[in-house]
Amino acid sequence: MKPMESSLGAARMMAVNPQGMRPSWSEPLHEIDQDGNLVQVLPRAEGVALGEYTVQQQIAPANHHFENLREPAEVAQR
Amino acid sequence: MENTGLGILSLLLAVPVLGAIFLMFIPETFERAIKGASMVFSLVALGVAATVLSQFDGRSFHFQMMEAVPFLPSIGVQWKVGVDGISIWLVVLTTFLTVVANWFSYYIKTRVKTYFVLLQFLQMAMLGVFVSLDLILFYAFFEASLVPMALLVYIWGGSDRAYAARKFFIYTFGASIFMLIGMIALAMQMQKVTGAMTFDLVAIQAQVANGALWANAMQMQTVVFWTFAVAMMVKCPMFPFHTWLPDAHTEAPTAGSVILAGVLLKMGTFGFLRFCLPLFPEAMQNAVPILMTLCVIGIVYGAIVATMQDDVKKLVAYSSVAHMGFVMLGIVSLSSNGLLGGAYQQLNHGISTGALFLLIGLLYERIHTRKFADMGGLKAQMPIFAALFLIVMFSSVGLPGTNGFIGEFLAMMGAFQAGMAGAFGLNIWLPVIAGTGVVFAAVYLLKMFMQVFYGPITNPDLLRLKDIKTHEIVLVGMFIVLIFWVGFIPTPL
Repeated sequence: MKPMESSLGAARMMAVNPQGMRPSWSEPLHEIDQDGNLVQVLPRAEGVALGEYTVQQQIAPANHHFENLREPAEVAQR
Repeated sequence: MENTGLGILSLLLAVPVLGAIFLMFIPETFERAIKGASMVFSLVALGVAATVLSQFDGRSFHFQMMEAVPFLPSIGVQWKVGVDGISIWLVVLTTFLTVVANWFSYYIKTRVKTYFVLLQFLQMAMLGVFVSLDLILFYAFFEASLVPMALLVYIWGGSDRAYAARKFFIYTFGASIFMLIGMIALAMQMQKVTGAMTFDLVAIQAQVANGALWANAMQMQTVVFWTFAVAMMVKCPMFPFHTWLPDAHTEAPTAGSVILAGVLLKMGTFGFLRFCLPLFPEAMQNAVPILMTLCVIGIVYGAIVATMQDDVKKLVAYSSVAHMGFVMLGIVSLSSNGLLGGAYQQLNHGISTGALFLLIGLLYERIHTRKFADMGGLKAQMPIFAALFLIVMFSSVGLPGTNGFIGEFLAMMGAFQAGMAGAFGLNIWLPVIAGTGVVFAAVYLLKMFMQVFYGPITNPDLLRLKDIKTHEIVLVGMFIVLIFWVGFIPTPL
């Protein structure tokens, strides 16, 4: 399902992530990596394919929204 | 990334337009030439779509092969097109199903030229919807797809075609007018925030991502969201906006039903993914409980009404209401599995339901009835047809190993995950109730199969029936290859 996965992941993060952790179509340095995380990538050299990038840092984990929901419950259990 | 001229996507849209213009110059009496030329142009469009797919880099979420040409710069409207991982498969599905629709339209005998010209225009409008990156461009294609489809139903449809075409047109056109108002409001909000009016989807989403567009305008976000959401809910269609679908499906000619089920309904789910999620994040999250409740009602209601039908086409039409409910269930769960399942299921529904309408059409052309009571015992006369029907039916039920399984499974899983996490005010009861729809699907489809193919032959007309022809087996066979291919190896999607 590869070609769909990253675009769907981006659409989902645009809907559920807080401001500052949302991917943007207009920001070429935003990418969704293989694990579904939103990452900042280094500028690509000219002629390099979109899918070939070096990750600079993670902006948001794949399931940021759901992990945030789970945390209070886990804290309460502990 | 962005091309300031025209490129392969404009070519993809130009092929059916050129096809329609070419067909207009062929004399009406040259039926075979019209049908042949229409098929050639559809195959060329499929070839261009395959080229787009081969050039597409699935590792990135960004739009690719983007083209932008100013159209009405004073109000920020442009010819802007591009594809991403969500739209690429819908583009391929559209061109594939148009080839199938052309192939199956060999039985059309009246107003042949008009029929095939409309089919070409319909293909152009559908492709335009999936590649548009400008709101007004999207709206233009969205509306443009209504006219040829309504005319296909109105001119070549069944006995109640006028009513069905009118209802289809009024429902979908009425809802999208509100979406146009929402688009204008969105552009004006952009002007307020950035100083420049634009309908550019990419530019608008950038302002949503940085939080500028809806800062201090949450109420407006909610109102504009619902103008988009209702238009998409009518198109899907979701309960309670579904009532146009059974009429349109039942009355449409077979090729029309295939395209309606395979592509037109997907414009609604695609609209949610393209606009409602990225542009209205808070409003979308707030709407999740309402939308998911409507999905579940649609799944159960569609399935129950399907079990009560005695007309094969109506049964499949109501099953579409239930199946599209699963697509939306996955999408509105806003979980990664749910979205993947929903997007996957929308493609699978196009394959399975498209194939079911095709098979029903093949049968209708032979016996001119769609009532179960007139069809009993068909297996004895048409064993190959029965076997093909059984495989397609299993795919519609969602049997493991077929394409129908993976999408429904992921959509349900996503809904459960959201419910168990308590996300967006959800609980697990809604997906539990939705699960009954899977059981109902097996009940109504198996009931239909038993009544149509087993038992004694009561209609004497069936005794002279012959099994389906080789070219028809090839046509249905293409769907069956897809059913098993996607069912066993979903990874390439």
